[in-house]
Amino acid sequence: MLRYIIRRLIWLIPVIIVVSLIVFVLMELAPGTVVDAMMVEDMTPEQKAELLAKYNLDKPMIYRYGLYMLNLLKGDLGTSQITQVNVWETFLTRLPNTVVLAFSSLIIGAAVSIPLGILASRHAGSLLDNSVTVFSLFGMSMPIFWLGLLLLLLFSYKFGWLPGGGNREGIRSIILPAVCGSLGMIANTARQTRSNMLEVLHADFLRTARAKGVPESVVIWKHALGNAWIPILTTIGIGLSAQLAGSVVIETVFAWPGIGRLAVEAVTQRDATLATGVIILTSIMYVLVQLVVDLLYAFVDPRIKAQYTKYAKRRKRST
Amino acid sequence: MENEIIGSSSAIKDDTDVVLDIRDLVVHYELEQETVEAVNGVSLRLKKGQTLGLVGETGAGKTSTCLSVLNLVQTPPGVIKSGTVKVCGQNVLEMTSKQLEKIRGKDVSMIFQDPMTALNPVMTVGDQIAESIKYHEGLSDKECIQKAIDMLELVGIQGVRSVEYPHQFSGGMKQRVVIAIALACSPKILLADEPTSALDVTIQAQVLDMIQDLREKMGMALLLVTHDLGVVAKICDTVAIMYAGKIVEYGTLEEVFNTPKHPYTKGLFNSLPNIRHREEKLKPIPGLMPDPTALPEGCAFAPRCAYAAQACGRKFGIHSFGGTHTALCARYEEPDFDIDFARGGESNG
Repeated sequence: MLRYIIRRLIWLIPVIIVVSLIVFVLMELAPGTVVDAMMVEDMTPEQKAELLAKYNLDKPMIYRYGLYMLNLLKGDLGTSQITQVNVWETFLTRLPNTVVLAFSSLIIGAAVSIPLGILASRHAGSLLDNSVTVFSLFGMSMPIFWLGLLLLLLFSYKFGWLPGGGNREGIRSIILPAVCGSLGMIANTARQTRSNMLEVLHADFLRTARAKGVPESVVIWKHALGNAWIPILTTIGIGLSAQLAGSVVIETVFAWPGIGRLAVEAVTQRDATLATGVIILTSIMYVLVQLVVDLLYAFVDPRIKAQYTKYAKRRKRST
Repeated sequence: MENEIIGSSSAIKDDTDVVLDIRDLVVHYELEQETVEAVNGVSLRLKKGQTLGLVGETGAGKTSTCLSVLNLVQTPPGVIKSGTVKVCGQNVLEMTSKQLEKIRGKDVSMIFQDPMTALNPVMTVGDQIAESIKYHEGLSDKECIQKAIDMLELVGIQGVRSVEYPHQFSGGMKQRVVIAIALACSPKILLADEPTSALDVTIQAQVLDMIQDLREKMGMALLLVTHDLGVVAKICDTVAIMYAGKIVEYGTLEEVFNTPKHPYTKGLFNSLPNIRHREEKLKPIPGLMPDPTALPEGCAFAPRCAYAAQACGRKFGIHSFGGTHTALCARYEEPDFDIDFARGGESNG
């Protein structure tokens, strides 16, 4: 198992290289630099050249990239060119907001979608099942920013029940963005739960469980769901990674000061160091969440756990 | 001991010790296009300690009969059209799901056909056995696990293996686990649905011996479903032969094996290979089981029957041969009719 984790972590290296390269190339291709963002009306060409030199913007991209990677090796993500604050520190101050939002969405999403999917699968073909399917399609195809705006319009502007943005009102301010973020997850996970439960519901071992006198609710929630977890976990994991990796749209619509908005701010201000740092860190988070999900499989399904141990044993024998 | 009966018309003579009483059971599977008539009026009684072999080809309705006893016929498409199934005097077909949960596993247990798929792959075998105990005996978790371990040892598996998962067991071992689950609460009735057909021949004998052994120890009534006459001869005291959803012959082991009366039973015996007449060809029953979605009127076996007469296409009657031996064949209404049967496969008319 440990060996497997290490192997997966080593894969982070190419991910970081590719992601950082893409960010650098994109920043290079995009018009304007951080100096344009800082320019004041009465700046002389000399002052501008000085600034360009300060950020190595007069040198080729490959030089800046090399320098960046060298610092990264030392664990230094650099400082923001605009605010002059350490990128790592900036990231850390924003991270909790995003984590709180992502997990709120996850909890709402899982708590709604799994029962919904189970209900739909147990009454497959009924009106209820069809409504869930339609709702899922609706949820998946609706643009999030539009949905977010509708929610704001209704609950904040019209009824005035909830704040219109920011994170200053504690639990009240998290409701709308969390609900908005969970809708996509509910749609996907409910569909996934439904189809996996349908596959399991006719399994022989459920008949064995019923023949033992196990109550129907336990048959469904323990025996059936226990065997349908893996694809559901995958879907939830993807949803969570997407949320953690900066739900840019939601954070922007709801003025939520998280990582997604940080990345947007950095890019619009041409703050290359901050943008690259934030994007590298979010991709690392993405990979880690996926790893955690993969490891969870082993806890859900003993056959997968057996594969890990078999793999380890084989390695031991061959060395 | 009186062991009857075939068909609804037989009189009920002795009610004492009857643990399972199936009357006129009709089970259909109503699909979109057609209706599968799986069980068409089966009546069976099982007394305490009795071992009844229910023999028939694939598709004869044996499994549906067993599932009806637990009221576990998959609905939809399955529908129990009529009949009563009394377990210890109570009709399971009229029970609420709460009442059913109480008798399933406690009064009636079932050993399933395919041990490969009958166990939950993500639960340890110990937990799966303990679950049954937990819902029926109100013991603490620890006591349940201890009892599960005892059950495992009873079926010949080391107790330490209770923490392992089904995929770590071989087919024969899995079947032992399935048996341990079924026996965990010492049921009064054990339904064994082809418990050995998914196993190797060498393991089959072991598992059968074990079932028989435990049955004697616990004093259960056993309904053994099989298509293997050898298995029946080995452990059953009463035999019911099933064809196209009906019981066509019923009697004690001696009666049915020594003097089979129904042409289908005879056909079954004739299709067994005989070691003393190896040069002889097997005599399979010609034709196939009728399509259960379109059963013929009258006797369902008539199209394949060497003795079929015109009357067979219209009716079938129960004929009693004294004692408990009965057969469902219209030809016995002719006073001098009998099928000629001799063990060893001498030719017949």
